[in-house]
Amino acid sequence: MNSTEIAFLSATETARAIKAKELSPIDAVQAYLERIDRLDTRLAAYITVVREEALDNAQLISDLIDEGKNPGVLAGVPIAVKDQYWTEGILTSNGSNVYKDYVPTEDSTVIKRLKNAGSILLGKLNLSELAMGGTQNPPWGIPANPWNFDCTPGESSSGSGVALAAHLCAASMGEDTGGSGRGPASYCGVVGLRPTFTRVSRFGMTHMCWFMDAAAPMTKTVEDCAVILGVIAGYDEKDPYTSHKPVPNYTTHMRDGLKGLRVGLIKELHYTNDMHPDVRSAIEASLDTFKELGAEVKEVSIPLAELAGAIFVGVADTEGAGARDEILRNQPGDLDQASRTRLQSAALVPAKVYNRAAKARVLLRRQVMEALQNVDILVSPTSPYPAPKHTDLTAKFENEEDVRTRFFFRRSYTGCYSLTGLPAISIPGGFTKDGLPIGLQLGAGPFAEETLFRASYSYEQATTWHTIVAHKIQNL
Amino acid sequence: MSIDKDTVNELAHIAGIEISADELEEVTNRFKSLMQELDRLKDLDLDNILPVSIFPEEGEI
Repeated sequence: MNSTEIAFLSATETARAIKAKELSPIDAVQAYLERIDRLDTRLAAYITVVREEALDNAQLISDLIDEGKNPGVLAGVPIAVKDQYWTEGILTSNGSNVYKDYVPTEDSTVIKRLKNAGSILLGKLNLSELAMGGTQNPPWGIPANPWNFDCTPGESSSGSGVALAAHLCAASMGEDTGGSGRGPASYCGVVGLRPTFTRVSRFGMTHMCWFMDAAAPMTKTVEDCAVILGVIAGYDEKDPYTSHKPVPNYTTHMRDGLKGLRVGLIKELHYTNDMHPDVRSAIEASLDTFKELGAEVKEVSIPLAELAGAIFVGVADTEGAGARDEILRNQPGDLDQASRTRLQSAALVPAKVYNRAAKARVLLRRQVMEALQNVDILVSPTSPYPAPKHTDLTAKFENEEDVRTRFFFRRSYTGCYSLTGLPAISIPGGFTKDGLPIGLQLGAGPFAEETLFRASYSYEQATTWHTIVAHKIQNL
Repeated sequence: MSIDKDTVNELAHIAGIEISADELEEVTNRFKSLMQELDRLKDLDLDNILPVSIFPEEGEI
């Protein structure tokens, strides 16, 4: 295999090749380092590359394999993580000048588990400031979408999406509070999962708000995602809210097919005037695919779904502003203009309004759970439109209507699951006529990730979207 | 609640944060829009709902 062929392997393909001794961990790491050197000046996916450490660890894994030992399910797989996860001795910037010198003294639990499974950390990935969104001048550069450099790769796990779509790592970790993992997965044409809220430890993951942040595996394939969730999930005494439920092998039922599965299109997130027509067509085509694969397809109603964006911002931004109070008081000048004005406006929300949003969140959960009485999987786009231009995303808000359409509307799609603690996955679901990826979002009940993987793997195998290489890097 | 730049300045003062003059209009737009969106929740029947931080693993609330 040449270095490009190596870099285009999925994480599980890389692991299999290494286990079979068809590929050495060192060659795998070098293939990605070479691409990062060549492409990342333009893409700005990485904030930090840990070249020497990655090569040393590759040698270590290689030695263990030569000794006949099993270094883990991800042995030798080069990965990268959003710069929101603590990494011992390595800058963890949170995409902000406020944290530009912050070097944690220990790893987050997610990082620890990924290392224990034999993966090799290539570096830390760019993100919107403080894992929010709309950053106008990111300190480490504006990440470029490999499908169209003028478009955003999504927020806030921007670098995690770019690095995957440009094959600058075999798998990445994002973080998803209101869609920060699924959104970039959608805009970059890769897979992104938000697990059930208590499924994965939050220890060592800088928080946006108290009870919605979730570790988000982002991958080239559904199988990769299932394997990585299996590695990072499970109880952690450092995050006492993590569930004690046993972690299944998420690939066991992945190939069981769709016969008997009930799939429900969320009406309120489909019949809207503001949805891009190509996105609507892609979602309707996906329903046909599900039917052809043997699923029963119907429509379901979640009346509060269209208000999920407002409820999300009411809860998450208000909590976020409270959590960032010290920065808002003492270092507002170190924040990007967009982060500063977003947090400042959220800091003014009266307690009774926050309380109403918090109650509406519970009502939304009831409605989603009621819909899940009738179906196993909920369907919607991940975003009602494809990746917007950078300039559209970061432009100042001119008036209230501008804020509503650009800020609240799309957050309803991912916010439904963030608010309710339920798992959801974004998988490649087609392309617009302009060649931009469309994300298909599937949601399920608490701890029903196995069902999500079963549905998304069947759909992935029946389509070719995940095999198409991003236009802008095809010849690079 | 009628919201204008003066209201925002006053609330910011109470909250202990300072909003620069050249960003006051944007913060006001954002805050007005946020409050208007959240105003749409007023019509919901939320009387018998207790807000929770984390949903239980079994059963519903």
